[in-house]
Amino acid sequence: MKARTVVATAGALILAVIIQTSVFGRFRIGTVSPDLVMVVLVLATFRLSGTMSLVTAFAGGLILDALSADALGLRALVYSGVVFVALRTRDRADAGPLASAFWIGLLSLFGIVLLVVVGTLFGQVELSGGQVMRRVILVPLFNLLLALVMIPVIERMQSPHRRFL
Amino acid sequence: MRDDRRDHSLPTFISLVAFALMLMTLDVRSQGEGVLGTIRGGANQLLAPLQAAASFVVDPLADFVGNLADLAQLRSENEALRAELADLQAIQATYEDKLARLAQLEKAMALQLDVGDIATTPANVIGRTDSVDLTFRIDKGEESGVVAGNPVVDANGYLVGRVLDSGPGFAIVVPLVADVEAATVVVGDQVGSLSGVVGTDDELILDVFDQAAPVLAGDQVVTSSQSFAYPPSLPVGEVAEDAVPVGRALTVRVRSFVDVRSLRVVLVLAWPDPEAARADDIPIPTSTTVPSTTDTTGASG
Repeated sequence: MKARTVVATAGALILAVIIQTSVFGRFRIGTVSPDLVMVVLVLATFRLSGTMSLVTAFAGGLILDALSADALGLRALVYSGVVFVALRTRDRADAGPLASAFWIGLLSLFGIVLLVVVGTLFGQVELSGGQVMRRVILVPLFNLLLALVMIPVIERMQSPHRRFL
Repeated sequence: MRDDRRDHSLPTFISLVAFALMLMTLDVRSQGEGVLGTIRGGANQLLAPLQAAASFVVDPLADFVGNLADLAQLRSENEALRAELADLQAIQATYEDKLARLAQLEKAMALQLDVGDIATTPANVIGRTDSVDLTFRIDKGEESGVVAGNPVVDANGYLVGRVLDSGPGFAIVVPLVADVEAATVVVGDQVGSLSGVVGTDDELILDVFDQAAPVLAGDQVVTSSQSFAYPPSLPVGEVAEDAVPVGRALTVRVRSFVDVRSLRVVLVLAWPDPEAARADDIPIPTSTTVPSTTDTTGASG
């Protein structure tokens, strides 16, 4: 693993956390905002090895857990689970920006459901309530739209022989 | 660029899941104290300046977008408020005489408001985690005297919640609607327990268990002098609907005065004063780990 890749990954992760906790904290639609960190972590699986992807996901989740009042490890577990599924299915999703965005939407749905279930088991989230259902539906949808915007931008940032997707 | 020659993802994943479960168990059992509390504080301390910088850039843009979205609604509200203002000016004239009389009575009886002497620390809201979490971070911490348990109000003096944890340059605030601990409040002359409602961002449930009397929509709910967590007479919200007791108990929905999602500036109250609390044998609140989502039942008390 090149040092440049590690630094770039860490930088992208911190930037995603900052944007999610500050920018998306203000811009919400129906009290729900996209999960940028999850999108970034899933997209990173196209560039990183399996182990590096999982460790990055765990670290990203741990940072968000530290910034929240939830139990430390909740999002780390959820992001690790999402990235693990992403690693197992990424080859099938590599069929253009639309397919990749849809794939990210499905992974986000898996992630938010996992967050609600594990959070409930540890007394951090309640399963009932309209807000939970709204988030389970809207967060994957927002992530899908976010991925649709991000994927072409990231593709253009890559040189022609080293495309992201 | 992927290195697929040696795929260790499955054992890595299993190890990370086990580690995460262990961390969660330790954190829940230690209630955010110890090493894990230190890690949490360190992360907040590192990222707080970056979040503050991002908020500095984003806030004006968010306000502009928000104002555009509210323009149509503001016009109709403006007309309604003008009509209301005319009515209130007429009523004000009749009340001025009564207010003068009341001032004389207060002076005579040497009444003192408990809230008047409490020092306040203004703070900016600098970060929120995600859609699931209602807690937020502010840019004032230990160096400003902000400690766990301090009550937090908005710029209008409405109760927001309490400080859950603080460190150098930051503090985490848990709003009343997301707190696990119920607040002791007063509506009319009745003392009750106020807690959050699962699945909402601005509604609370008021329970009055003893000798309850009917309440009306719009009745003001304020903190009680019996509360250990909040000073008395802080406005919290208003009763959302008319309600009558069932047996001796009353349960009614309360709409919070504070929109937690749109808060930008808050005031942290230096209450209780540690010296006074020790002298009066009042328990000083301590930090606790709470379920922090809007979907969590509970409020602070």
